[in-house]
Amino acid sequence: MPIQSLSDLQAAFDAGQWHLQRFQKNAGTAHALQWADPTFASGQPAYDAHVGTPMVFTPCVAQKNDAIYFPGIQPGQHRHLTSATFWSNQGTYNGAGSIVIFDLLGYYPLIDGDSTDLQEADNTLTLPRYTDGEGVGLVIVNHVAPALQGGQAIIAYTDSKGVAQSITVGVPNNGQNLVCSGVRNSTATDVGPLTVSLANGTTGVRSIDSIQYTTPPGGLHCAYLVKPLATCLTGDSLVAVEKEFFSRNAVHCPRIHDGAWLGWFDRIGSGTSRSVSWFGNFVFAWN
Amino acid sequence: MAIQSVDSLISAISAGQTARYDWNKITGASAYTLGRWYDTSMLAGLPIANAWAGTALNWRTCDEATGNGTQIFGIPHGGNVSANIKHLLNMSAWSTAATGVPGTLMLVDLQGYWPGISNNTTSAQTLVGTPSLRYANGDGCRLYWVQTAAAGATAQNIALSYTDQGSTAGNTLPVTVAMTASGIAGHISHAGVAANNYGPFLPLASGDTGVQNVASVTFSAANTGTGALCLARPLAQITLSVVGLMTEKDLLNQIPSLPQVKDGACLVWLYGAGAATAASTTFAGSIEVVHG
Repeated sequence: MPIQSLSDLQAAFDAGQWHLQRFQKNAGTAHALQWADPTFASGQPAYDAHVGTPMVFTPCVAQKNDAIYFPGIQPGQHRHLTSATFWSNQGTYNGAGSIVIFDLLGYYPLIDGDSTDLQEADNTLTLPRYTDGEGVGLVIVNHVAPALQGGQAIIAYTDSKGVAQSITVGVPNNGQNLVCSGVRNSTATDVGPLTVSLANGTTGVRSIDSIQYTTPPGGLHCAYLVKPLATCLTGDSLVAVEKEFFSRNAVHCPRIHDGAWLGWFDRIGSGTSRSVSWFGNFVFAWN
Repeated sequence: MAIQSVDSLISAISAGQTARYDWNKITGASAYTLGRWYDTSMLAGLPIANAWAGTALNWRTCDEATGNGTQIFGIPHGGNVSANIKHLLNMSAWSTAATGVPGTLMLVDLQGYWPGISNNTTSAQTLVGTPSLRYANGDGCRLYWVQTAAAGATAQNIALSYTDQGSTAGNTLPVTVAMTASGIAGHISHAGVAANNYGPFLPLASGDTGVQNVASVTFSAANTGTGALCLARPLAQITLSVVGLMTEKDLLNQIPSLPQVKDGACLVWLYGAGAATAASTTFAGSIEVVHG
């Protein structure tokens, strides 16, 4: 029976129905104020470049060590993330950071940033979780080959209501392995948002149908479809910070579905770019 | 059944009765001024910009599903849930620019607005239409003027005739309220640090706790520019306190606790600048709701 009360949650821990999963990611691309995905760094979970066949939707269903590991549960049970702890050994971190924990539902890899041709997506496979796409965000990340300039793209997509939509949006050149989600419909540099600004009335993304660059940024990009689950903050230099979701997230311990591909984006508050190693753990409980 | 205990809240969460949405907004080509308040609905980003659709001086209702009927500009919150009750559960926000902090973001439920009101007349401008509000009698609903086209350099004061929450018509502002000369588009023009500035909301007459209608708007001097008079219910605030760092707010354990989000609520952020905020500054974040 799912957790439906504080007593249920406590009982789950009493019954040993919890798991602490350590993670450690080595330093990746230096960044400051941009959002970064530590997936593109070695460690535990393993490095993952998010490659595949260009523009073919690649669903993500976590197995073994390819994302934050959590144990399987019995049918009818619910699994929840009850806390997350982050710290870095960066001694000159110079500013606390922000974290968004997400479930990566899948991605469209290797989008050619040197082409102005229409790049049509293959959606033979569909979202493995949150299947209607409600609340699912689109995140653009420059991967594999670096961009050369700020770009602009026309992105055609199907929203969570099943309606075809199109948006012209910037693809800023924020750096390799960093988030390049545009706010404006121009080539201007936008480093702040995690998800791409979408069309009138969109409340989620079910699939991308095509991307066409009107100003090609160069390099290769990957379009993630993510379900953000929670936020937390990191401490300053050499400070570990734990967020316990029951008491500090309005008792909302995010539900973690079977196969969830758990990762996080980080945004270092310092104005000076840092290459950051991450350590910490996620705690799960289920009933 | 309404959420009436921590256990029922957990049960609602466990049943998947939550929704979470990201938002982002980027300021325009003009810098924001310390101490002033600004409407973010008309900024580009996610959701799209509010272009203040409607007929001049005529009330335009706003809601989640249709926005103002043209632009769906409110931050989504998952649709109607009646007979359940929906609550704000968590919020986060951050700014990209050092000059984006310190600042305050106030989340309001925009009931609607009267667009196309001219700054350029001293005649009383009669407002048309009777607002249909999500709050009975407008209790808790407040007024603010958004400059939708930049104002000219002439100083002017604003006066209103409004109907309060008790259905008493003909109420006026209790003090002199100065608009800002040369206020930029998006500025809540009466909010600032100058003499006779009040913000983000227009002051109400003694004893009044809300507004249900406005009959007319009158300016003391003619100035160029156009604006919209907005009627909104404030729900919650979140501060932007540290450069580059996200702020989180847990609305169970922090006050106001679990603010209700009505069916159809059109959620909009108002930004109070605690510093001179550079042009093209991005604000972003998320909201999370639960219903039960």
